[in-house]
Amino acid sequence: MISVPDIIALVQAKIPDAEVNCLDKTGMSDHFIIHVVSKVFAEGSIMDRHRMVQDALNPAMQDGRLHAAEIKTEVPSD
Amino acid sequence: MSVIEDQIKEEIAENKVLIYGKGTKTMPRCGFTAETVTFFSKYGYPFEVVDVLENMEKREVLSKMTNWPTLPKVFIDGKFYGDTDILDEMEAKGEVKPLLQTAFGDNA
Repeated sequence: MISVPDIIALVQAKIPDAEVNCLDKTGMSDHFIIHVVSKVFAEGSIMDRHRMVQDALNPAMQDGRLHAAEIKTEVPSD
Repeated sequence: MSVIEDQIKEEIAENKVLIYGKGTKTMPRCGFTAETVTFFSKYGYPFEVVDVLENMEKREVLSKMTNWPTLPKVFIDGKFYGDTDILDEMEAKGEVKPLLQTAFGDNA
């Protein structure tokens, strides 16, 4: 079980400017779609983006609070 | 560890598109593995699924080799591409088809 604010805090700890939207897929607070928008995604490959988010979420994956995360990344369209 | 690592390297070399996942191609036992099978079936190129659901040791070696914690793990032409989260976004940018064409030497 993990709360949305905790997910957002984890992501922003590694990606400060990230805009994070979460959708709880099962209602059990352990399987989320996590949509992250950040300027830093502009450089690097799609793989780099996902590694950054995976890395940020790692603490919650390791201790089991977060079972599965579907990660979506985007660059802000300004 | 190195015996498993060698086995993995062999499997990756022998299959241009390889999915390590839970279950098999015809009987995937996890939604994400099933999604990945569907993803590659669309392209019509051959691909294989290696079931590591019960093989915790191999899963750990794979996670260390790729520095990626989750399954499924996709390799195309020997290179690691994560899972459909990444492949979907690459597909949206038109990056997957050329990758497969190059892998299969199919630039007709």
